[in-house]
Amino acid sequence: MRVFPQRRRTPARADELFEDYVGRGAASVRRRLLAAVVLAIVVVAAVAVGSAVRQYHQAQHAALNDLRSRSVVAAAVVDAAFAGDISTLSAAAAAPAVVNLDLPNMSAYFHRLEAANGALFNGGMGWADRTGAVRVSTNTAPVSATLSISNRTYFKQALATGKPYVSAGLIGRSLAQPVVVVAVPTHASDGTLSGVLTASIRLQAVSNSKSELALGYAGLAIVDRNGRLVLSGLAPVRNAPLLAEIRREGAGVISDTHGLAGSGTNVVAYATANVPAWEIVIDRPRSAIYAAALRSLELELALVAAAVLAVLGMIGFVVRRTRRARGIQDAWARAWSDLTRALTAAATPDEVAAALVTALTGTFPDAGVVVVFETLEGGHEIRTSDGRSLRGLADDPDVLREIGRSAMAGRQTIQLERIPVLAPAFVLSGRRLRTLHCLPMAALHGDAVGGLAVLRPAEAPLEESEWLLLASFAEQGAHALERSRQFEHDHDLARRLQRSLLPEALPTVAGVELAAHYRAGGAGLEVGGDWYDAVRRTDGILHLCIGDVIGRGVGAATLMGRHRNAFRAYAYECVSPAEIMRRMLRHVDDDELMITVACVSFDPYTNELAYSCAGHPPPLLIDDASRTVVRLEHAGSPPLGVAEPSAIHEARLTVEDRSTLVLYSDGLIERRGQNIEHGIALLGRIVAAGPGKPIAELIEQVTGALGPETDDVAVLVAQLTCERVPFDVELPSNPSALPAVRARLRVWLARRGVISAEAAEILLAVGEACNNAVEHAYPDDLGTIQVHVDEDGETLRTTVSDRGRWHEGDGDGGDERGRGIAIMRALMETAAIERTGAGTEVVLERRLHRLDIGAPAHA
Amino acid sequence: MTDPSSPFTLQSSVVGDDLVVAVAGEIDMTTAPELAKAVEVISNHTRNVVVDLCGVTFLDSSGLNALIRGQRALAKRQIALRIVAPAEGIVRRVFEITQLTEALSVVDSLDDALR
Repeated sequence: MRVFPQRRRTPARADELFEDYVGRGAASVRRRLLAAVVLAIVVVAAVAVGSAVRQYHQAQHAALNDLRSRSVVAAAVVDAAFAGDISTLSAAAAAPAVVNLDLPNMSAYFHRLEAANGALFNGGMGWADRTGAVRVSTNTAPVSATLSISNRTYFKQALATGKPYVSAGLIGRSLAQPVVVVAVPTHASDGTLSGVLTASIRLQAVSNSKSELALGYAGLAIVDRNGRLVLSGLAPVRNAPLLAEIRREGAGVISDTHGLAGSGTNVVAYATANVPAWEIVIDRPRSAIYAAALRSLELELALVAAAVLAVLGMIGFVVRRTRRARGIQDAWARAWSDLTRALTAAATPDEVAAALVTALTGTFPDAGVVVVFETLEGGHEIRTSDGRSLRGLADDPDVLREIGRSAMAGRQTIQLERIPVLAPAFVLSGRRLRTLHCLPMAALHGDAVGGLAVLRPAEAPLEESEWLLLASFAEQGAHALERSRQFEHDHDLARRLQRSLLPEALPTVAGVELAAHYRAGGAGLEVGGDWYDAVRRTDGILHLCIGDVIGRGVGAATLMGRHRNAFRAYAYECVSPAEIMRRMLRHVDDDELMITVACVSFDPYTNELAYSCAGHPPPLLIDDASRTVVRLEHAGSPPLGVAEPSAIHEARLTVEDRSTLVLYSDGLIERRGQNIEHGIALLGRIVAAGPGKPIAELIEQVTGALGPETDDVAVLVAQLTCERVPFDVELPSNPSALPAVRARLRVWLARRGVISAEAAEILLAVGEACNNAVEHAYPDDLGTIQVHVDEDGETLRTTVSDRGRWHEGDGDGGDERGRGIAIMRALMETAAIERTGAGTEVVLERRLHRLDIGAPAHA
Repeated sequence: MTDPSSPFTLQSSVVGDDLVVAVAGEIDMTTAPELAKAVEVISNHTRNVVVDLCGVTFLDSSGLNALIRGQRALAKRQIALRIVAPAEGIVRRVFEITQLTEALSVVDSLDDALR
């Protein structure tokens, strides 16, 4: 049955869980915070982008307005120019040469005008009479009689309305190129309409020159009343619907159109120049119009992006910094949690110190670490980090002791070089470790039970957070030291208790060689509840017992003590192992640990063995000669604490003259993950292979084959070699004890080869001697009678003795006693009764006539 | 731990005018009083009592004493006691050693006793 050591509470695990929990919570908070910040940035950026887009739209709007203004201004300029032209022409019409229809002078006048103001009417001037015949022209010296402008709209309009008129773009007759003609009616001196004065303005294809671009007049187009592009060689406007819209509106801007050419995505701004009845259009691609707005939008967006990136970068920086700080804290938390775990497992002050050294080395990787602690005996011991960190310092106990003293003295930072007793530490560390930081470990009652010393290369003092960490180590260490001292004390106590509960010496029994061994479990941290015991009853019967209280510690040890005592008490009282165990049940409380027990009783005079097992692995009986292994497994019951008295029974068998009986606890043969059957079989083989080997060797062989034991091991081995053992029994002076003794003696005699007829006589004689003792030695109270029988192959000698006073009986009694004595004397060759003050001894002797050596050992 | 080789038993039966008490097992200090009492009590209504010791494996002086006491008690009421013990065996030896074969009318077999 496996003994499950009670698991200790594991605070380290709980701490981990707690840390995990808190860690998760903190991480979640951190994540949420970060998300909020990012969200805020996104919102701000969105607002900024929105504002930029709004500004973009405003800029677009402004660009459109600007464009419209420009078209209006252009229209006004055109109007003003034509108005100027008209007034110039009107003034010319009022000139005397014109009024007087003095053609030569008119021509000269026109030429003069031209010469003086050549840029004004670069298409030339002319005068046509009322029939439309051109009579004067600056373009053709001799005016051809065929040149007539009578069909020209401007001529007809000026003549009909008597008002100036600006023509649409047309191809000039004389110039054969696109021109605009300004026509003004002329009047004769009598006021009658005499003709029409015309001036032509040549239209040149306009290319978007630099100056026009700078003025914002790129894309300028002029559409005359016939829908022709005045500045583009009088090409017709392809996009008629747009032109219709422009004419309908008069002035405005269309931001989304295909333009006059009817292709592309353009913006069109337009205004009407009324004088020539032209549409002044600025027609440009949207991209060109919005370029500035787009540039500013792009700039704004770039600024927003840059700002966002800058903020994110800052956040990232902060997060990284925080993470790095957290990384250090995590490392500390890990060191702390590792320490907690290690300290929980630490059972001795030395192990506590080792755990502290590990934790400190992990926390201060560049440091040398010295931990001083008080031992159970009250002295001080020191544990240090390895020689790599301390160098030569690790091997100098005097300096280390000095450091230990400083560590216990109080919280302090010491520059090693400045303190004479500590200066060697600096030198011994290879001039590496300069500064010593000390913190004592104080127990609950306030006294320092040890100290932590950290030697660092840097002269800088520890940061407060580092001191706090050290303080937490020191506090934990102090508790663990206290606990381990208590534990060691308890353990020591439990060990002593257990040792005191195991028999100091095994009884000496003729024909039986007893050996026992107890070994504390692998870790040796806690005592177990294994025990064994052997009792030799006065009647010569040997009771062997092995038991295992399931559990460990002082509780198990005391319980084991109780059961061992119960066994001893009942072993003297009862012959039957089952009865002993039934009575042991009385000492099992309901709430107690379970107990497994195996009891074996052996009668060395009859070689009879009886056994009973309660939940215990079966004892093994090995026949030394044939090496057969018998498992005593036919009288099993549940462990004590579970078994009912009725479940406990026993089995019997007769053993061979030379046999080995092995009782053991499961710790010997059971290994985690292995079949217990395997262990039992192995044990049997090992015992059978070498009967009589020392028990320690036996255990070594078993653990060698099965692996080291982890549980307690108790083994009790009995070598049974009883073929020449004299019959030696002490029995109570009670008649009821006699039949059993006779029966055992009968078997003993048979084992010695005494034939049954002779044995019957011997039994009768010995019975009479016992009767005497029972009747006469202790008539009123109970005493004891010793019966000793032995033979040497020829003579059988019996001694029956008592320590009572011989009581003389009355007449009848004398007769009856006389008969008993007569029987003894008749059956034995010698029957001597010797009465002394100490008691009576009856010696019976008889020559054995017919020893039946070849007979079976027992009848 | 070793049982007595055979348990002590008493069995009474009437054969003709005689009461036969068949004894088995061991007669010693522990069982002799029982035998004595049986012989005295059971024999009230009979002329002769036969104690058959054929099944007895052990008889010591206390058993003899019980038989002698029984014989005396019966004699006072004119009842004869006869004892059956096989010629060979330790029980017959006991009577011979103590020279009680004649006095206690020990015979070889039950047939002899009832004749």
